[in-house]
Amino acid sequence: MLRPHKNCHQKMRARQIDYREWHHLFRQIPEELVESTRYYRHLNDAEWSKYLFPPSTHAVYGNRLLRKLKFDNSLASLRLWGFAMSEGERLYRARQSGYRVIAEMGDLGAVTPLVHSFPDTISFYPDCLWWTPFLMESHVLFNEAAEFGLGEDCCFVRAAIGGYSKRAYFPKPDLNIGVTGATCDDMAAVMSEIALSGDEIHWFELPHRSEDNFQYSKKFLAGEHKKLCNKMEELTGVKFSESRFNDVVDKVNRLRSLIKECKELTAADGLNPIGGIEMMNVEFSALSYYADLDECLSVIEDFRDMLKARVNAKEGYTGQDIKIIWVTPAADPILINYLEELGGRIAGSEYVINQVTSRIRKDCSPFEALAEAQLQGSLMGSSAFRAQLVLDEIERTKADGAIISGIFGSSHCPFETSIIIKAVREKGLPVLAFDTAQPGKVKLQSQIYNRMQAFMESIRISRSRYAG
Amino acid sequence: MPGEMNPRERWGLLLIDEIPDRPPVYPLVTSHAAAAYGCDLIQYCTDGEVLAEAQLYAQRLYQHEGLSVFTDVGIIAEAMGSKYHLREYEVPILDSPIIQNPEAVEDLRIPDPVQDGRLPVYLEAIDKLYTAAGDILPVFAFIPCPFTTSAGLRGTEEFLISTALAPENAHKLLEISLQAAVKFCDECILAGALPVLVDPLASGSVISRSTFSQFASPYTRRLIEHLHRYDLDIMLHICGDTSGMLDLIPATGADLFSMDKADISSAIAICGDKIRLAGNLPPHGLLEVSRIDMAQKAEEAVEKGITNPKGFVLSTGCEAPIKASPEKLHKIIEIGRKSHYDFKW
Ligand code: SF4
Repeated sequence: MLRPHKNCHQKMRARQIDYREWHHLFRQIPEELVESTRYYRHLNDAEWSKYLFPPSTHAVYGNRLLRKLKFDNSLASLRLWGFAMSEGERLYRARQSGYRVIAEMGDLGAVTPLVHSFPDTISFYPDCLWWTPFLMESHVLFNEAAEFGLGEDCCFVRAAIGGYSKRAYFPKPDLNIGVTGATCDDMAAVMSEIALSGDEIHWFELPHRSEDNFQYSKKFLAGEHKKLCNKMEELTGVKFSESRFNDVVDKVNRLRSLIKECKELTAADGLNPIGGIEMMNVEFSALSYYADLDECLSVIEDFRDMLKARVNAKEGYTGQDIKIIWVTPAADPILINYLEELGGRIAGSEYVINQVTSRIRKDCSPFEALAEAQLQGSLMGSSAFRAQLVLDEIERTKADGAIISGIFGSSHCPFETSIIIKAVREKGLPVLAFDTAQPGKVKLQSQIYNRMQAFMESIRISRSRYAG
Repeated sequence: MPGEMNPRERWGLLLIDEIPDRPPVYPLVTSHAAAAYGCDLIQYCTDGEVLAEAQLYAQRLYQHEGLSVFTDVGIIAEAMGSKYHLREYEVPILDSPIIQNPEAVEDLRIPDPVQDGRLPVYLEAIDKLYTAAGDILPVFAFIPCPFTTSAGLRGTEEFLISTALAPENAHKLLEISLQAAVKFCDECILAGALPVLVDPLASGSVISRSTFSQFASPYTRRLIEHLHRYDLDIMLHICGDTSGMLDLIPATGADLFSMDKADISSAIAICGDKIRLAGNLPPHGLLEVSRIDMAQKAEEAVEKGITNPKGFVLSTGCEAPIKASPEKLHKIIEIGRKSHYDFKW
């Protein structure tokens, strides 16, 4: 297995560097390593399957934000970036290689193990297109969504409908799975528009979770998984196989525990061992494994090893000593760099994907096991549940404060923001909440930066008072 | 129109072996942009901001699908010391090459793209174009291949003679031209552009197959290998007649071949399974005075090109003339924009 972090290049001090420096450093990476870092390895080194490339490669193809971001300087991180950034092309290559491509929308990462247990089938998450307008610093997908009546009063996930309409971001899915029921209104609106525009959706109903009806919810959810399984059998013409499913679950559980380990290492005392954007890439691999579970495991394992080595060696970035919990993923990754620039580090997170964090049981029926894991979802129950997830993260990481990056106009996050703020303040910790500015809104963004600066200063002052 | 792909999306699909809604339409609107914008070529070739503004103006006018940063094929040779004569209404031409005797090769230095010659003009223009429209339009930087740069350093005739009489010296020159091109390409990439390699001197109209294979192609291939290491898709443009060397093109490693005088159907038969093709409307047909029916040419090119298994870009065989007729340019672009693949999503 590839172990890029064991390369001589790794002897460099842990640092955050820009795309220009990566472009030049990249030349020092041995050719064999670039050649052997591939996805879909079973396709015998398909010419297009390499992915260990620097951010400048992706910048040339329009991902303009990469020219402004700071990246970790390890090979393991470069590999992670290359793997995540190549997902779009990978979906097309999967289709060209005869794979079925399944779209999972809404709070669904929980169904991915089931989908991947069918042969030659991969899945992806159209919702994740919400990062595209920010990475490209572009309004193309938002303008497209506006053609369907979804404007600034809808969450950034509206970019997903732009992807469906433009037909240039992923191949036509063999199956679209969408959630209904206890899900967010914004995503529900996006999915309805997709359905109305003619893309058939298999609806998967999420029950509302409450302590009183947990068993009922579980049974109901298990039934939804069974229905989806039937649909997959119909689509693929292949019977569901428990042994194939168990193989996938073993891998998924391994991935989830690797991610958990990475999160623990990130919160370790001492220097900040890694950038928050890299960690966000790691956490989101749990949704659909960037469309290649085996390679994803290898990428995250390398990343974990690199992190472990840094933490053991007490290595990390200097000057980032204020531990922050980030709540709701940052649609604009540069916000995370801002925090780091101001001396903060993301020690923990609540990225509304708790449904893909817990281990999937193997001692009960597959559908029940999936249902049980899914019922840990961040968004399918009370806001108090999610607020508690944030408090748990604070406790686990001994954080100094929390930042909530909301989305103007969206239905879910604003409602929960005030509840989370209250819960965190009751614990005596400061919270900063703001709405993420749309791409290109430079003035709004500078305001966010100023607010972050004041927030970080106030934490420092209260720290020094306390110390005094 | 809802659902319509933009140029970035269309090119993106083409480059991953997918069929977009239609071929990108990308005539080489380079110095003609200056005429369209209303500046002279000295301004266009020496001021990155003017170059960028002119490109954006021309793109808004014609709606073609890419921004082109190109002044002249001597850009690297000039930065290494050759003198070029800048003219208001013609592209720059070589005045006096830096190398007057073979030994002078040893004194050559690889130029610094940030400060030498007019290389910074390119970088400024690329940065401005990428910042202004890089999410929607690809930005292409036209970089002369080592063979063409060597001719600019030594003088075309002297250099071609050296390939026969002093091949070692020619290779030395090619080597340093290659290093200069690598460094310049890197900076163009970092500024946001995808390099397009141009090698007008490697045309079948100028050199033989064997000179191409021994002196032009190996250095172009090494330059492309450098760029491939970064996973970039590289277009090679050779003007003039390449019909006798089509079989040699895939060996350069280029991902797209922008061709001038060669039959599209023959190109498809010879190398269409290995390389995407771009071309090849006769640029002089765009002149007001020309009797060539460009609409018919465009229709024929599309009809043939669209069958290329690796994909096709409707383009001109070389730069659109400075004095190209805007109506004719509009017409060929309109025809290209009406073409379509049998695209089923
Ligand atoms: S509003 Fe919040 S929960 Fe809803 S789709 Fe957007 S980020 Fe997800």
